[in-house]
Amino acid sequence: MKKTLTAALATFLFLTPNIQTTATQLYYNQEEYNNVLNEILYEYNGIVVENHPLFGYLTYKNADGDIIKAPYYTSSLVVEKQNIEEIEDRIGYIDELFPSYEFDSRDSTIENIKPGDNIYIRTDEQGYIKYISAYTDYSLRYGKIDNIKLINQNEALISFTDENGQTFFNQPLSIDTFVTKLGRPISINDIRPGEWAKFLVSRARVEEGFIEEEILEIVVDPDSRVVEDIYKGDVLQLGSFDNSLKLSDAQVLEQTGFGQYVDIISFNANPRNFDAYLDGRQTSFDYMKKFVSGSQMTAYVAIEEFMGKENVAKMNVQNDFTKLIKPAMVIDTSATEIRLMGGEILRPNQDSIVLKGDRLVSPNNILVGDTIQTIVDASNNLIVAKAVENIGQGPLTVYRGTIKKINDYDVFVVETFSLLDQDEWYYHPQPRTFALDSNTRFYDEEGFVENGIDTFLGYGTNTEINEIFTIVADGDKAVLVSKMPYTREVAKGVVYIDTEAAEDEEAASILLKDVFYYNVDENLWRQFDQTNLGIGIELEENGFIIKNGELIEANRLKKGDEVSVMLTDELVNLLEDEGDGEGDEVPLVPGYIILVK
Amino acid sequence: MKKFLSVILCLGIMVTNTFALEGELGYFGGTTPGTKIPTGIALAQDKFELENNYTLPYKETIYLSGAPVVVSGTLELKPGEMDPDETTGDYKETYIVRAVSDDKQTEISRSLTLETIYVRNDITGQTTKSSQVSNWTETVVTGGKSYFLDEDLSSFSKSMIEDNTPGVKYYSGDVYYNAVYTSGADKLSMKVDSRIYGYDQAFAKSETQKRNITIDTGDNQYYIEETPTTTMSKELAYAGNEPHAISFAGNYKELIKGEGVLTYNMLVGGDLVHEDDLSGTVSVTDNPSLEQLALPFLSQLNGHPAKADVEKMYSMGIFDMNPLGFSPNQVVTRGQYIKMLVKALRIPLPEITTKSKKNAPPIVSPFSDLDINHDLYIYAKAALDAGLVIGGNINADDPLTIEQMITFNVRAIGLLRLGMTVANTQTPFVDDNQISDYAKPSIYAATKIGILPSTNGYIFPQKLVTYQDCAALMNNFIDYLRYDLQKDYNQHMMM
Repeated sequence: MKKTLTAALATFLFLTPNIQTTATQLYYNQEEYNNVLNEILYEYNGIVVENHPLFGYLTYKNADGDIIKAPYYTSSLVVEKQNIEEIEDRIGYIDELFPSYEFDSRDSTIENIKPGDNIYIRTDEQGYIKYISAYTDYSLRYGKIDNIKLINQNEALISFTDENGQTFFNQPLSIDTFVTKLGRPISINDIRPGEWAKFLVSRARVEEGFIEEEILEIVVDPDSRVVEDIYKGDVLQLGSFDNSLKLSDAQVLEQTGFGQYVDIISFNANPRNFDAYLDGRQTSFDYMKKFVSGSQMTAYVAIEEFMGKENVAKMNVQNDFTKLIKPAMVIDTSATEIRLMGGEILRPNQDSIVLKGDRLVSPNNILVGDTIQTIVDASNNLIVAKAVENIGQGPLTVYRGTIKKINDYDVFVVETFSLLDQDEWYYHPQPRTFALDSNTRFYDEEGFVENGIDTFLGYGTNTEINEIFTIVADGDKAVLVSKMPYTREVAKGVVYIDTEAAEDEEAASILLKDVFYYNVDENLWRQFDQTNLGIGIELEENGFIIKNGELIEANRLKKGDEVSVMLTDELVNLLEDEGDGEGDEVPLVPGYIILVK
Repeated sequence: MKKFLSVILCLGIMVTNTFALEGELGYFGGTTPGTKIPTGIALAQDKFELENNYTLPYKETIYLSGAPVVVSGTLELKPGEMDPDETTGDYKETYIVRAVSDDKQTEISRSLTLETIYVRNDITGQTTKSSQVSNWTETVVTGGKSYFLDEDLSSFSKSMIEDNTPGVKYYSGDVYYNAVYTSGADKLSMKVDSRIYGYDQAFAKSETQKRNITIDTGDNQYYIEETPTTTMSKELAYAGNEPHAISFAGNYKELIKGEGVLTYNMLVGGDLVHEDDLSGTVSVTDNPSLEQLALPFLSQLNGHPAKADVEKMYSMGIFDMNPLGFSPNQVVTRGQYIKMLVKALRIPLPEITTKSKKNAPPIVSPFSDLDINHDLYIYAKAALDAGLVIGGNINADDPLTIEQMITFNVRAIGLLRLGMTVANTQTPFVDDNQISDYAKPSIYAATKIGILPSTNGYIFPQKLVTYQDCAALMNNFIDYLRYDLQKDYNQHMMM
């Protein structure tokens, strides 16, 4: 393995760091020149076991399995390392032959040589390392994140389980590990339990019977693998021909309880990783197929959307009484109990289906303060828990103000403003500045204004100075700017049909039941209709809806959403103006601002 | 007779390998379930021929209006064919797409013909291909406008490289095109650069494209990343017979099914498109087809822990000795295992003639210890031609060790490079020091890809492989080819 080189390239090799860092020319005298020319180089390779830059040495395991200690002087050491993000060495070896002043992403320092790195080194005849070229041999792992916890300012521990059920428990993770989602960097704090991710790992230490891996990079699934729905139904068939599960009389769990019956619904079910439980015991695909298909037992099935298909993520079959508990806040948790605000004490088990943030998670991810909708059996064993998002407007705030100044494509200032809070406008006699960018949406009476930022100007014939706008802002950034009437009145109600599922002439309307409106004179909420006929809200072209901290289209309103609607006049007056509200037809009123509570 | 059948089977398989079937996605961001992998029954037929024209279910996403619109329809595919006897050549490939959206407001009609030239490199065993467009017409209707492709202003180029390993053909390549559309006086351009990855083997095949799209309408610009992928695989399932009075309790069957998936992410989209609508996933599937596999009655294995593994080996035709004489504790020889691998991976068998032509030099075995008349010779020669073994001593009658078996497996699927680190590799097994130097890279690679557990005590590398060990390890290996290799090309690529 040992190879001697008397190459002239040594001249440049050893000079390179000085030349590169100081960018000054060195001159040899004849003796120095001969020394460099005739210097003997020794080449080795191996895997780094330890590296101690402070003490000036590293140890590596060579091809014979021997542990070799190799000293170095940091000041006369060239280090190159192939980074994981570099797909090729663009500069190549030429910068080792001749000095190069351009940036080479392979140029590195001795501190970056880590245990597990594959190194190629050259030493002088005394055994001191002069040059190191390193790369990390990495592997890919794919799994579902069980939990992630910060242990100090620099490190976190992450546990995940791969598709074959192998658990990687408490893998150390540097806080500056590169994490991406949808091709964009995200913080480690934004990783949520239940998410799937790809892990680029290096084998930091491999010994006989022992392997230690270090996570170099995490790519989080771009929300393509979500578990949103839980179905209840009878197991009709498990098909081995097409790997499917058919439920009969199926109902999906909605915010208000189980929804409409569907005669037969079919999902993909993979017998190779079928996660199903019968009365608390895990059972196989074949067992379910033979003994449960066609029975009257009730199955609760969590459905995962992945690769364009609906797959069975977990199934819990019960032969017992079950009851649905309305969403309630968790006030205490332990490994064996979850206590709800209403006093119920629930017992989580291995077969519990727990959904949080559209992910299937383990019960220990239910935390105090979460609001959960649950299904339990007669002994209060937890069958299903679904965490209910409770964001409301989130970071979005609604303002209304008169434009005082506009800096093109940058900011605008309102002279004074009103702030919408708890369905009331609160006046603030002071200016406020909002930032604009290409994502700011503009609306006028005609609706959306394409490239509206180009016409939102404070000069010329179309100047917007002194015009009144309603603004939705995220902090200081204007998300939406709309020219709409003043909406002082409010009504509230509950969406009773998914807007996308509405039929006939009411298709474009948001249908509300349990409607109340605020009577300013009496200073109280009044019920709209004793028979609970409800109303339909026609969202105006320049109106908007805020749900869970974001602007949404009407078709994203779901049955059970509690909303307040800002109106230009009191509800009853609007109905008189519209000439509606007679007979069995749902009366329709125009709405501008809809806030989902 | 046996050799005769083998030759016929070989010819059928060779036809499979000479078809240039990459491109089952169509190069325009759409997805299909792919073409069916031929069944064993079909391959065994005298007159087996692959079709030269396929019509596949197809889905694509149209972005010209600024919002992603999914269209569904068909892809008519006419693949080209390479000449197995020539190192250079050319062929023509045609793709015809007709698709429409659910609301009928968006539709596309496209026809593309490519002239492809290729050259084989005998040193690397790789084939490179280059394609130029000879005919391209396209019409898109979306957002109330009709867009017509201007063929004079548009350009298309494709370049591919194939790497033929003994059991798997891998390929990758690039497609770049600039499609210029006219709509009345308006002009719109769509520039696409795309990497293509794929593989094709006996149990599954996948193809994935990573595409970056830039659309310039003049007034607006959009940027999209999309990943179409297609996977056709053979799944193995057991079907038990319910009647008691039946001569066999059940049998295995292979379910051949395809699935295409397309994920898209508009990083810069139309102003009015909701953030949640900018990304999405669509899928398209085909009707699965089934092949029943014959299974002998192995009464001596009732209750044996390796019974299912051995039955699978018989069902797939990999074990072919008389079941009456089968013993799970019998040691497998190297020659027998080479034969199993050749059969499992459908490595083409050569045509063997023991008599040389008049005045021609006598046919000499490339193996110093295996005569041309030996039963295993045809399989050893197939393995040699495919690069699974080298000539000289093949030691066909020597018992097979665990480390040899893993080395054969990793070499067969061409993934030895994953274990070739700078220095001597260190495997995670406690008895690592018992592993021969030549086998360490393969065993290391096997732990990386999952055909061996990555951390699990001892491997006993010098242990002689019995038929029960062989069945278990080989099933694990084949399961990797059926179910796990594809994940690198579909679900892992979509992130």
